[in-house]
Order: sequence, then C-alpha cells, then structure tokens
Amino acid sequence: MHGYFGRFGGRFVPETLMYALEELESKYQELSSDRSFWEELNYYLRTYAGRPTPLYFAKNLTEYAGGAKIYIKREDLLHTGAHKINNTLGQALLTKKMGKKRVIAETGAGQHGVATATACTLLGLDCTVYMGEEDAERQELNVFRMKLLGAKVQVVKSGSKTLKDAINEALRDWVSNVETTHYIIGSVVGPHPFPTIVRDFQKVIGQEAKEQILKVEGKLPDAVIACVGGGSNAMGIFYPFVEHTEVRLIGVEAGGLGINSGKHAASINGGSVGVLHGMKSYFLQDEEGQIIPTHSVSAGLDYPGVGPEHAYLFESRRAQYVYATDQEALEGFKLLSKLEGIIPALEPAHAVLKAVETAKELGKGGIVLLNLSGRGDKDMYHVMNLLKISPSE
Amino acid sequence: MGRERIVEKFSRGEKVLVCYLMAGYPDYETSLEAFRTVLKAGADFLEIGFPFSDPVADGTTIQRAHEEALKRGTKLKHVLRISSTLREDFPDTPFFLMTYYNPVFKIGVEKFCELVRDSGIDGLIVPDLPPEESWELKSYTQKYGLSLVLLASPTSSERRLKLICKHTDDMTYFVSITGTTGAREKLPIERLRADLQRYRKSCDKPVVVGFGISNGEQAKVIGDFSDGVVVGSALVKLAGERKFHELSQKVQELKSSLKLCLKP
Repeated sequence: MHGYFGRFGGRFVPETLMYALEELESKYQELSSDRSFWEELNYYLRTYAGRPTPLYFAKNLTEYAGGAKIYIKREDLLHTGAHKINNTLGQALLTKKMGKKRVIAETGAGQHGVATATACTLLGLDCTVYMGEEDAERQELNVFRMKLLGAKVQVVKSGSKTLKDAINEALRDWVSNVETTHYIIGSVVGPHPFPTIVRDFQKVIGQEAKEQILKVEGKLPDAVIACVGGGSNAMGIFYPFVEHTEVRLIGVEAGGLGINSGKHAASINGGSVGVLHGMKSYFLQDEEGQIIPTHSVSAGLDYPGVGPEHAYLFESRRAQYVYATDQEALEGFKLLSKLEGIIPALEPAHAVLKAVETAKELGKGGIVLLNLSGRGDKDMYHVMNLLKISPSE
Repeated sequence: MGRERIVEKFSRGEKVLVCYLMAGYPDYETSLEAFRTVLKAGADFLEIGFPFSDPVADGTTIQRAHEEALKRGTKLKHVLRISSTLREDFPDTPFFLMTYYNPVFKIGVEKFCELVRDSGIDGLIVPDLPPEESWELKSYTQKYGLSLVLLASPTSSERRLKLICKHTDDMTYFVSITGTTGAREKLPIERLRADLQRYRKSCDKPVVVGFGISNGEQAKVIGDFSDGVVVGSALVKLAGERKFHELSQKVQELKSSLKLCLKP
C-alpha cells in the first residue's frame, strides 16, 4: 500500500492537508534524485552543523562492561546540541525549494524547536514553534533560545499541554495556512511522506557510523543501540544497517516509573495499534482509543506514539524494543559522565545501560554501537533537582 | 430505515440544515436535552459528536467540548444511548455519528459499525479519514448499511474531488475554508461559490457545506449554491451554556433562512 511500512503508516489527515502532502511527496521525489540539492544540504551539514560527527571508542565504558567494545556516535557534538539539526536543515531547504516562506514546528523539550528556529534563521524563513505550556515552563531556557533566534513561540494550553498537544496545534495551524506554510515535523512520525523524509535526512548518522566502524574495525557492529521516543535518531542510525540482518538493532523506550505503573512513554512495550497524528502505529491509549497521558524523566521521549517504520521493524522482528526506567536513565547519565567525561542528554541516557548489558552479553570480540543523540546541557537543572545536588557541593 | 432516510430528505429538493452537537457536553443529560431541542426546532440531519482526546480538525469551541465530555466520562455506550433514545421520538431524521478514526479503529471497525447501526444511526463522518484510507471502514459501513460521508475541501484538486465523489455515500461534506471548525464572521464566499462549481462539474451527489457557519445570513448565501449547511460550534456553545431557548431560536433562524434559498 502507498505510504505504508507493512501495515503501519498511511495518511490519516483532514482532506485539506492531502494536497500539501501530495505536493510535498512529489517535490521531495524530484529533489531526492537531484544531486545539487544534496550537495547544498551537505555543504550546510559540513560547514554549519558540524558533520561528520566522530565515532568514539569508549575505552572506559568498555572496560567497565568487561565485554564487547563500545563505540559511541557523537551526535551530541552537533550545532544546537542534538541530531535534530540534520532534519531541520534538510526540511528548511526543502521548504525553500517549494517556494514557501513560512515554517511551523512542534517541540517537546525544545531541541527540535531550537534546531528549526536555527535552520530558519540560516535560510531566511519565518518560523513559529508550538510548545505545550507545561514544557515551556520546564524548558524556559529553550523558549528564550528560540526567541533569540527570531522564532515566534506559541504556548499551547489545550489538552495535556505537552508535545502531543503541540503537534495537534501545529496541525491546526497547517490546516489553516497550508497554502503558504510548511510543517517541519521533528521525528519519523506523522502522515506519509514525513516518516520517510525525516528518516532520509537522519540516515546520515548510520551511513557515517557504518563507514567509520568499517574503517577502524574492518567489520560491522554486532549491535546498534539507540533511544526511541518518536524514533528519529534510532531510525537514522538503524536504517543503513537494516539490510545487514546479522546486526542486532535495539531501540530503548522510555519506561518512566515502569510499564506496570502506567506512568511511562513506551508505546511499543506498553501500547497498542491505533491512528493518531496522521499515522497508523503503536500508541498509548485506553480501550476506546482515547490517548492517555505519558510520563518520562526526559521531555524528548515524552510522546504517546512511535514512528510507523519502528512499528514495522518491531512487528517483522527485525529490531528489538526494550525500555529503561527513569531510574535506569539517570544511572546511565551518571555513568557516562563519570567514566567518559561525556554528559549525555536524558534521552540517549536511556540507552547507556542497555549498551553495557549488551556488551557483557556479546563478550570480547564483539562490537556495540551506541547512538548518543544529544548532549546534556539542557538537562542540567532538571537532573540537579532530581539528584538533589546543590550546585555548591 | 438507514440510508433511505438521507436519500429521502434530499429528494424533496429543500436545503437541509445539519446540526452538530457533542454527546456528553456539558454533561449527559444536558446534551440529550440539547439534541432534542435542535430536533424540535427543525434540524433536518443530526450529527452526534463522539468525543476524542486529540481533535485536530476542531477549533477552540468544539475542542473544549471534546475535553469536557471526556472529563465527564463520556464513552461510546453513552453516545449510543443518546442516539437510541432520540430515535424513538424522531423516526425520520437522519442521524450521523461524527468522530475521529482512532476510537473507531481501537474499538474495532466491525463492532463499532454494528453497535452504531443498532442504536439507530444512519451514517458516519470521520474528518481524519480521506478516501485513500477509508477502505477498511467502508467495507463494514457497507455490510451494516451505514452511509460513510467523506469530506472535500477548497484545496481538493479535480482529481481528488472525483475520488471523493466516487467513495462518499449519499452526500459530500464540503469544508468551507482551509481551517478548523469554529464560527467566523466573514467567510470567503466567492472562493466557495467557485469551489462548489468545480465540485458540481466533478460530482452529482448532494453537497452540504460546513465549518465557520453560524448565522442565518451565511446559511442563506451558502444555501443558494449548495444543498445545505452544517452548523456546529455556534450550537455547541449555546448547549454548553445551557441556553435551550437561544438554541431553539438559532436553529429556527437558520432553518427559515434556508427556506429563502434559490431552488435548484
């Protein structure tokens, strides 16, 4: 079926948006086979965003695990602090090529919002970012960053006042201004062709990592591990490895206070198949299809759904999806900081313990590749409160 | 019975007034009373809203109704109870259930269609279900004799209008504006008139226009070049404020304006 990954994906949107999605799909098809488009994008990725990012052999973490070698893909070193910029530069350039001058985006923690505001400033596009009221309060600094970059920040007060509602509000804006506006969605979610476009702009992570690891190790990794909220960093690093069926792909969802507590954001581990935000995938919902509130220590994973390609990789058993609780994420956060001098964002911190565990399982001679999708600067205040550390100590 | 009710209404050649209200808003009893009020005041078709947690096609007024109805614990069984209760007193009025696709999908497409039909509902309107994605639901609306009404929009191309026409049952719901539901003082009437002309060239099924319409004047102008109008937010607002008298007057105002429309 058109726009589907197995039985997942599709285009469940109001009719008003259908022409925009058709337009986007045909323009993207045209551009994706246009060398000059990719050359222009690669120019910005290289000179502005900081690609290629290093592949770092985490010696201390490897010793700590006492098994397979652990390599870390350093997306945390990118401009604006996370992998999000790969996608926003790509889509902002796409917006320009479509002749549109206005961009809207949603944001949870503010990382995608900041990355969108940045790309729009670079390329001279008008930018409005929707952010849930609760998130805007929790991430005041990112609100300030977006404003400093010239973006308008629209605080969303409807529903649960978080990421899900910011997407709802961005979709309402798009329905109203579709003829002049492009919606830069921040993850591999939404109606077709968004999951494909975002994956294509993020797959540079996996392509680079594959080349880098082949260069230093002369073979592919045994396992690739990444955190999964909507799933864009995971899809980006997984995709070039999907065809190599001997490579294990492991996604780590946000387990919050545990799946049984009901307070989590693990859509595959604790949800069921449904339709929201234009796609058929896994969602956290009740028996009548009402979407239920999520919880995660990390705002970037605090979303009640997951990209349809992940749902497909899960159902076809190509990838495995596990979860880490808030507590485990905080342990991973401290561990990577103390052993490697790398303070991760709370999102990829969810994947750290799983990387250690997998390295132990694989034993010496094995290779684990961990995607470090973002840096922890944005989380300092939050973690300080959680760990009850006073700055003077 | 069923879809014949819809066909029968259009066959009279009068412009139809479609009235939308949310089940369970502001509470179950008040919403039941509000539905009765609009039916008594002359609604030709009734749209019963089944609340959803993420109503992306709706503006502020109806969003609040979704939220409030869910907070009050509104479930499918309440919506069905409203419909079967009203059906006893209003045997000839077509009833539509309007909701988003996820509740239908999660409850189970077949089970949903069967329950809905048994409660006296004649058709479904699902604003996030374009024709390309409607096949699964359509196979069961057909099985249970329900009408599945698709939406068209000012941004629909000729190709899309033909596609919608082919797959919609009994009528098309034409969205007046690129935007969400909610009363608007000014509607782009000239663009809409041209859009409807485009529609008529591609489709001979009846067409009702909705989104943004809140008064008799707008209903009269739009009724002149369509087969009827849908009014939602303006009624939902009055129901939410428990203003039954004003609700009844509003429906009568809309109804009498439509009577002044040009005959096809």
